[in-house]
Amino acid sequence: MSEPARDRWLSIGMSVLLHGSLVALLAFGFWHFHKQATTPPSVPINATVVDARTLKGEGAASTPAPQPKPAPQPQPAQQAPPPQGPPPPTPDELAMREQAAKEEAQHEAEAQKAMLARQQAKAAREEAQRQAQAQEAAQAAAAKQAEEAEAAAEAKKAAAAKKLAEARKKAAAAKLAAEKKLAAERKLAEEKKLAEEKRLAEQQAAAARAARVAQLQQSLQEDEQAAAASGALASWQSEITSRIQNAWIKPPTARPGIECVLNVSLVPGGSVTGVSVGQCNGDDAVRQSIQTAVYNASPLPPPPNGIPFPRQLIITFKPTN
Amino acid sequence: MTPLLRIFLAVLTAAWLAAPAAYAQLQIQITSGVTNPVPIAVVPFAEAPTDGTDVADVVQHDLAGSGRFTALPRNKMPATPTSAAQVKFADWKAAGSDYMVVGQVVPMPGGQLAVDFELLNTLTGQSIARQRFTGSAAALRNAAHRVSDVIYQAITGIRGAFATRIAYVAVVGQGADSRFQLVIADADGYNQHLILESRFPIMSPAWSPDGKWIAYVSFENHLSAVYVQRVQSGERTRVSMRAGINGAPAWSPDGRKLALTLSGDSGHPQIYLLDLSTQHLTRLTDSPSINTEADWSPDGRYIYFTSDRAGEPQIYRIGTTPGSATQRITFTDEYNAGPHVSDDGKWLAMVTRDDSGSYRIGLQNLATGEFRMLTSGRLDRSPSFAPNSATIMYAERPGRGQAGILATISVDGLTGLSLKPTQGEVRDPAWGPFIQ
Amino acid sequence: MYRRTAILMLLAGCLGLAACASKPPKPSAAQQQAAGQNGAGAESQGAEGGANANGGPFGNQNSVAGPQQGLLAKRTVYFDFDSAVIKGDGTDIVAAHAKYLSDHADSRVRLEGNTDERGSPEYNIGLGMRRAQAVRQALLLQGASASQITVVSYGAEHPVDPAHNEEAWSKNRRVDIVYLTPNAQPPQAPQTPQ
Repeated sequence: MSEPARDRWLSIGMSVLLHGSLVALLAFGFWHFHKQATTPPSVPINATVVDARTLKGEGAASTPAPQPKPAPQPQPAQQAPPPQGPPPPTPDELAMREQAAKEEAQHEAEAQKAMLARQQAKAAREEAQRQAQAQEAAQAAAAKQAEEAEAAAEAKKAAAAKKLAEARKKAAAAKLAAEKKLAAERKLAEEKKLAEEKRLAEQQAAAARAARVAQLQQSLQEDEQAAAASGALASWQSEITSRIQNAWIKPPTARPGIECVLNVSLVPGGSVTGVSVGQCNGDDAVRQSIQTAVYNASPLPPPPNGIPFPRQLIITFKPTN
Repeated sequence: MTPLLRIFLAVLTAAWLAAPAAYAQLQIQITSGVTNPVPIAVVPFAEAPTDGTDVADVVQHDLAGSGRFTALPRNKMPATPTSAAQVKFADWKAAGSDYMVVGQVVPMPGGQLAVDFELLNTLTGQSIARQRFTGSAAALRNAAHRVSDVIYQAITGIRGAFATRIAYVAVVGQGADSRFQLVIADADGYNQHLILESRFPIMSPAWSPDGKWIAYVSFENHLSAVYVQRVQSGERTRVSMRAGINGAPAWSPDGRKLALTLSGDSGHPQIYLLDLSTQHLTRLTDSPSINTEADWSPDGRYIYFTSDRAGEPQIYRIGTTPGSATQRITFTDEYNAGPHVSDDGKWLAMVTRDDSGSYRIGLQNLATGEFRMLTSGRLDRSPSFAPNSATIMYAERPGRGQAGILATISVDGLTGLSLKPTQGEVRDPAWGPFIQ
Repeated sequence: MYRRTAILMLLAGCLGLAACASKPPKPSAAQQQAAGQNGAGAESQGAEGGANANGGPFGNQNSVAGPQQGLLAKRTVYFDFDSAVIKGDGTDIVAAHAKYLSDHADSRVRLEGNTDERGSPEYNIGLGMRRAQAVRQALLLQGASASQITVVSYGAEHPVDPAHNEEAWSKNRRVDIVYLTPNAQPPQAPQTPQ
């Protein structure tokens, strides 16, 4: 039952990861955009887009145009103190002086007007810049807001999706479990009798299989026996083994579980001169049969060249089928 | 060869050369043998004059007939010793016999005869068994069978069943002249006693567990009826003659009940249990099919029977308390009928039809469910276990045009003997219990 | 027909005389009463009032009891291997006997079911009974009454052809319809020798 637990831990871990990364992103974004937002003056988020054209007097401007400075009064021509000096200007000169003064005043007014205009424009520019900045800030804030919202929404969506996925997974698992249970119950009820019959048929097959396995084990054991020693010694050993096996008329009571040890005395040439039954859990029939087998296998084949016959053999009879 | 292996071999060779005594005790393991008949020589006994019973011949026939021994023919025997002291073992070993039996029949006071025998291993020279059986001259054959029992058990480990009896049905004559006979004989077919003769069929003899009664089916009124007859006296009782089938009697292991097949006029054959003392009848099976051929498990808890509720006949098992569940037992082949359980509870013998249409005796291991064909005839049927669970007797038709005979086979498939009548045919064998 | 009867009676009488001296002669009955003989060892006497009137202990196809006209002379119905379905003209034969039985309320028959020799003997008893019951059912459906019919199964124990081939087997897979004489008595019990 570790499957759901493992899944649960996995879900938790991924969820934490996802949420953590989102939180991290949010924090970073917030911090980043927060920094940007402090350089322009913060304006209330009333993001009405301000058209720069409105600043030129076409519409109501939100900020009153600065008052024009009052035109400086023209300096009156100084009345000549008693003439001591130059002759009083002539009326032409006077008119010229008036004209000049008028022109100067006009120039002054124009200059003032221009300066005003320049000031106005500058103000307007500043205003526009400020507006723009405000707009930018607002936009940034908005963007940040949107992003935050988006992130939040995304996080929410992810969480929801995750939850949905989890729920779906859980539901699927539950459904599967329920289905399985139902199917199992049905199967159980349906196949109770069949299982018994199958069991018997399988027993038969298993017995055949077991017999084959025993056979394989036996041949493996023989192979192992042969491999235990090496080379000529092993083949001599297996020759003796098969000789005795072919000579052993196994009584019906020599069933698997029987193990009998026979100590065999040999003389050079391989003839058996004596046998004695050692540790043995078989009945008399088994004991007789193993002695008879060894005698019937006598004389045993000679060992490989240069090696004398052993004087004693210990033969273990341990039937496997 | 890897360097490591080379070193290993070098060490080993050094060990060989340096210390040959190191492997003086060589270990050998034997994990299998052969299932062949054991060669034995049964030397003619020194006989007192008798009714002509050749004890050694009876013993030889018993052992060879079990399939587990092959006997040295008399004309190949190197000598005729009648006691162990006279035996030259080398000669008998050279003749190919692993074992030999010597003995004598000695007259005793009162007209009795003593059969002395000794079983010897020709290879080791040892005496394995030595015993004396005493009895009347008329029972000499029986004494010989008991000698066979001892020899059989000493060499195979299984209790011998040679001193037991069989029952069977003989049919003599043809067509309207045919006569049916119920016969009891020794397990080797000798000493026949006719215990019933009829113009009508007799079937399904069944021994009571104590060997004192035989139940059978007789059609002597043109209709079937089940009888129970005392072997010794011939006194008989009719236990069922109901309408329809009365058949397949089988004794419970405690001898108190008979399983029967009854059908009524219009019903399906079902298995019933009849309490012989109270005459109370209990129905066991309840299936709209043929249910017959009951055989009790040795512990009396189950009845194995034939049923074709699945289409073709198969072997089923039901508990002997009414209301018990039924369980199917056979799954190999299409036709399995006539179940018989061995007394040791291990084997189930039956009639099985193989793919070629031959009816043969099949054997199923009740513990593992493993099944195999035992015989190889075409019309084999009616298997019956010897009480030692080691041999089966059955009826076979050896070939087209040949009359039916009885044959035995060992549980591991070694063929035994055939019982051929001098006339007519024999069928329906029932192997009796050990004689107390 | 009377000539045939007379000849048969004569033969029966001769057989009776030819038997062992210890055996009393068969009664020369007006009807055929060669009874089912049950005996031990030596032949026992005849005329046990056999429950059928056929020529031997069992009855064979030379039955002379019961109706002989047309289909009614046929007393055997055949079956296929492992089948209890009446085959071929068996259905017509059964119909004819059903009508006869329904017209003659005092007639009684015994239906004897048989199988071929293959397989387990008591299971064959069951198969033979299945066949006999099939014929019984057909008779009942066509007018006979239950009290007129007895059924028995001989399984593989009563072949008409003892050979071991398909031809013999197909002849043995049958139900015999045996007419019982009205005052039939059960035959004597078999002897159990001492």
